[in-house]
Amino acid sequence: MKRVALIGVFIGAVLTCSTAQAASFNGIGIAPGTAVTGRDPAGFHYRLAPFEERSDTLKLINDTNETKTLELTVTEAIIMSNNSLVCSDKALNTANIILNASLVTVASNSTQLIPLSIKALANGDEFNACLTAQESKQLSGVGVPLKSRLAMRLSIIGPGKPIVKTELSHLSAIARNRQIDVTMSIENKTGTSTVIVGDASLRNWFSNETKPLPRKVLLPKATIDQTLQYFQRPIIGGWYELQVRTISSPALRTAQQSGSEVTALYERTLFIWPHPLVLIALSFLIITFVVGLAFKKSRRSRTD
Amino acid sequence: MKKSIMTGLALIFGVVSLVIPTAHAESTNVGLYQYMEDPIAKIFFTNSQGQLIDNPQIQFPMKTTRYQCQRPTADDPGPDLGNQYQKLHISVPDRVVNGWNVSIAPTNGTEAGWVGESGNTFAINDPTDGGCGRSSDRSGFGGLLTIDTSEMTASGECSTGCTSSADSPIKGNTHNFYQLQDISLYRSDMPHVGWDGTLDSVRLKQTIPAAVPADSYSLPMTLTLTEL
Repeated sequence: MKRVALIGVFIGAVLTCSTAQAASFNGIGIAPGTAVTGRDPAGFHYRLAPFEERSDTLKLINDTNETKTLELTVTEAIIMSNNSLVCSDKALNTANIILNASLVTVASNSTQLIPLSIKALANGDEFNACLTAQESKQLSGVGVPLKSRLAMRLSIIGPGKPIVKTELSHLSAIARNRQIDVTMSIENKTGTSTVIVGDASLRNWFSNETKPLPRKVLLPKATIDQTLQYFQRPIIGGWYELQVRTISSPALRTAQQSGSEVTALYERTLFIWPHPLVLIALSFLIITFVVGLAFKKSRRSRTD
Repeated sequence: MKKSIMTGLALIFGVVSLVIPTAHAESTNVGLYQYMEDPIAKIFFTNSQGQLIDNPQIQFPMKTTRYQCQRPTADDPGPDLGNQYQKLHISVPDRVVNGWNVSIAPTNGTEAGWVGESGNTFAINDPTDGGCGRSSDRSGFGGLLTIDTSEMTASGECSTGCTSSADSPIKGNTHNFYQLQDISLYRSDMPHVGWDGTLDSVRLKQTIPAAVPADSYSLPMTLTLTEL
């Protein structure tokens, strides 16, 4: 009984907090509708067999005090030369993704579900597109009038355990005055987008510096990502081992993803010149030693 | 006896606290619970007082028609997208699966370019002579618009597991609309990390070819916040 009462108090407290936070929000937005089998609960990412179909919904949210008219479009997802995936302005004419409305009026403080039908490609290859929503209004004025648009990537890949294969296609290091610039190129060799994490380390007997790779990357299919990582230049030069560890996993969050991670270790040996100050100090020591030795020798020969 | 009174009081408190916020929510905003369960991504502008700007726009400084090409200079580098008078806000929920990005593109495509009130045009995507030449594939004037994020600042709060708000690998890039049709301004590759903040000082640099006719030109642009 005591337990039941405590649960009652707990639920009450949680709802009280939630309501207070929710009151500060307003805007328009899009999100996936009710859960669908084979789709990630948080995004429009599907795992479907060739030609498999799904009926889904796009949720439109209007949490403002005005009625909003939204333009909805299925657009191309383009991979730019810097590997960013962006949603173009071009409508995608495909029978594989059909959104059942293009202009929707959403009442203030309400949500609306728009039917969406998905059909997988024949070959099971990854397919990317975008669902976009923006307020319907004509831009006017001199200069650069701005409009904002919300977009969600929609991806379809085949069922089963996704194949992950990445390769470090380039690893090099340049020693600068105070730092070592390490350039890495990681190539996604498969037809599926991949997330990469990992770290890079530079070490020898005297030093050991490890840094995480600067980011988790959504590396689109068949693309190369270039990453630059900086290390502090070791004062004492010599031979160093540069090690890069990558953990690649499919860029989809599903139960089937677990166990699909692939870890790879890449190593290079490189020679780093000692810092100029160390070289000067070393030269000074050597000169002192040689001069000292010569002085000692001449003194000994004089006494003899 | 005392124990059962205490249990009863706790139960009553539990039920009352369940009812009170529900009643409050219904009287002020119908969709409150839904939004808490399903936070959404937002992109909007506010003025220096924090009020929403309905029709944001960037103004280039006024120029005079010249018979030499006008390139951006250190004294006249071009206007900023995101500044103290027009703040660009971005809010992303932590349910985002594979990170997110913000990109900018001309609303009518890169080919449309600047269009004057009197119908004159000049380009934003012609790299001939660094934007100073006459457009080879068009009959009109050349011109090149560059987006420079080298001075861009991103300041905000991460939901979890994020040490720096300015973690975008894109910062520092300079691209023009000849190279790309859509240009990424900011990219976060951190999955399941929410972010709430502002982007400032994204510089727009337009090269204006010689003898572009005097007119009031406009170039509508669309900013897109994409959940990856």
